[in-house]
Amino acid sequence: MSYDFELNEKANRLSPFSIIYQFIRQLPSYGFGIYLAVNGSGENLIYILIGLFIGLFVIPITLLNFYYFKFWIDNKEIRINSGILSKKQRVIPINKIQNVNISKNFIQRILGISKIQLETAGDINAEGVLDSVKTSIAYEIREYIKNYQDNTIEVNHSENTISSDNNLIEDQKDENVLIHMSIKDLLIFGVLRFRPVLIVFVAWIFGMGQQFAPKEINDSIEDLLYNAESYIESINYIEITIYSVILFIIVLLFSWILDILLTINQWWDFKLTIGKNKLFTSHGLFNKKQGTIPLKKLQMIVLFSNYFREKFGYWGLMLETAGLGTIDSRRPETAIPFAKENVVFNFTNELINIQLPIEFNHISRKTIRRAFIRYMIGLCLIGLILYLVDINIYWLFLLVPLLYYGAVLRWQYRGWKIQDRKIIVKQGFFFKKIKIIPIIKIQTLNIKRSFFQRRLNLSTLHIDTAASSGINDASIIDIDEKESFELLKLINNHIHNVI
Amino acid sequence: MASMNILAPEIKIQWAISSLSRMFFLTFLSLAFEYFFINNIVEDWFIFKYGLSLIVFIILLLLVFIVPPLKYKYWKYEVKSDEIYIERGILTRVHTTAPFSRVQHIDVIQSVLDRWMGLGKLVIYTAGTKGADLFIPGLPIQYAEHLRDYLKNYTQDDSV
Repeated sequence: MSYDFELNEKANRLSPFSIIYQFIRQLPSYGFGIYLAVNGSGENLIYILIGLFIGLFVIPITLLNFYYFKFWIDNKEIRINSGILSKKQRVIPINKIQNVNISKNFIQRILGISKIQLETAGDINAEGVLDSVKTSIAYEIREYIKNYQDNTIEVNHSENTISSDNNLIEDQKDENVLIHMSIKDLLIFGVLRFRPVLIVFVAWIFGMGQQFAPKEINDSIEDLLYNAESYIESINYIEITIYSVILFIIVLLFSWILDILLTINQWWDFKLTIGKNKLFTSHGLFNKKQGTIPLKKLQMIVLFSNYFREKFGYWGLMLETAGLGTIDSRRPETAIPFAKENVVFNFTNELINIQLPIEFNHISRKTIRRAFIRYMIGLCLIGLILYLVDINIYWLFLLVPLLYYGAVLRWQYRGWKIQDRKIIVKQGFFFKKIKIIPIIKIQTLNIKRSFFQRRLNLSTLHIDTAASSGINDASIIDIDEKESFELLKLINNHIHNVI
Repeated sequence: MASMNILAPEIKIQWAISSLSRMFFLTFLSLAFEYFFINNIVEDWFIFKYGLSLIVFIILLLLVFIVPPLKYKYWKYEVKSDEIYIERGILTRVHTTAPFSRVQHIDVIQSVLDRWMGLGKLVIYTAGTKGADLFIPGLPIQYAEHLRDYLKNYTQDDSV
């Protein structure tokens, strides 16, 4: 098969039309200058200066960028050289490419060119971008990459790309349903959520009102205060206190009910279905939402709960998968929003074959001291602010033992354990999280020791996976320094043994 | 550790230059702040005219001399038989390991100063998300390219 682009040793360039495209794309950035020149005092000098600027910098830079941008394609890798003053060389092995995105916007379509994005599983900034090549060549490059991948590896990667979503509906048969949330569970979920919805909602409405009709809102508030002035003056402190407490309770009640309704709307008829190497979720009353979780790309399992939910024996489960580059997939997928403890733990066991240990290794006790000091600093800052606005701050001292108790609880809950080639980390103390990472999924390990940690011989171990959301980072905070280095060695040995 | 490698000493000049440019930028910023904001709007500022800028200037100038040697002293790396190990940081010490098998791809980046000094920066991308891109600045360019080619042989097909 012959291609219109150069293979092996010969260098490729972008389409010459990309110069025009880049020039058009940069128009807005100096459009402001032109706008100033046109609307300015009308002196001719400014026009000349802007003309010189464009002539001396923008056009040559665009041209030089084009001149220095070269790429090579062979049967192993794609090499991209770019940069005028600081040169950049990028090598992307073809078998690492997860997805080839071809896109063209309106201007590019007119010019007959397309942008190619080569997405790897790595960082989003680490991908190759060819902006832009002739559209027919773009499709050929994609074909070439696909052909090469299909021939060498047994279709490992192509499964990730396009074909998957077509059989989405087929796979969601009733017999494959793993978990179906009952209405009773859904109601309990709503009841135990306690989000301050109404306050946020009212603040939002008020904010919108301020945006669009600030005058009317201020007038009506003033009117209200003016009309009720005599009444406000007539009531005493006790009445005011009683009224505000009642109002507060009513707001909480409404907030609670609203939260339950919102929860019902969001998670109505939640179903978790298993397909071929994939999990499917579907839920929602008015807006039906469907999600796909590729199990092959699973990086981390996050079990989550909070103090109240745990007391009632309920947990949730999130799955972190490696991203395929699109922004939409860059958040953890909720596989189970809310279910009984044993349901969640059994599902975890089936998924990656692990029994949660009863005993965890504790982090260092010194963390209590560190957490307590941090809470005290926060308290002092609050105290200072309250003092400056003339509020009595002696009651704050009552919080001190409470904060210490919090620090102890934090230490008690946190922990880690290595079991069955997986590392399990417990985090949080009000919002509890248990993170399970298969050791083969670990990418890099980081030990960080801040100035204060070094004084106490403590360190923090960060475990980094290819999980794309970045919300759930697994780190073991404040373990003994010696222990952390031993752990680092142990995990690294595990990784090498697997390979 | 005795076997750890250190960077090329020229990197200190680069760090000094970058902190010097940061010094000028921040001093300029605080000068502008004091000129436009303080002397026009705030009546009694806690310090004499342009005093804040002077303090910023002096502190940052001291840092230009203090930070690069310290940073250099603690920046160490080692390419072991199966992993890359990096140690760095003045106040917060960071130790990073990345097994060869986790390397996705490798860049060699040369800034203008780098090219002038014959140095290069090796950037090692893994699939990880947080602090996942390891970089080793201040390598002689031939060595950086050699390391790149060496590590390329170890990259695996599917490490995610």
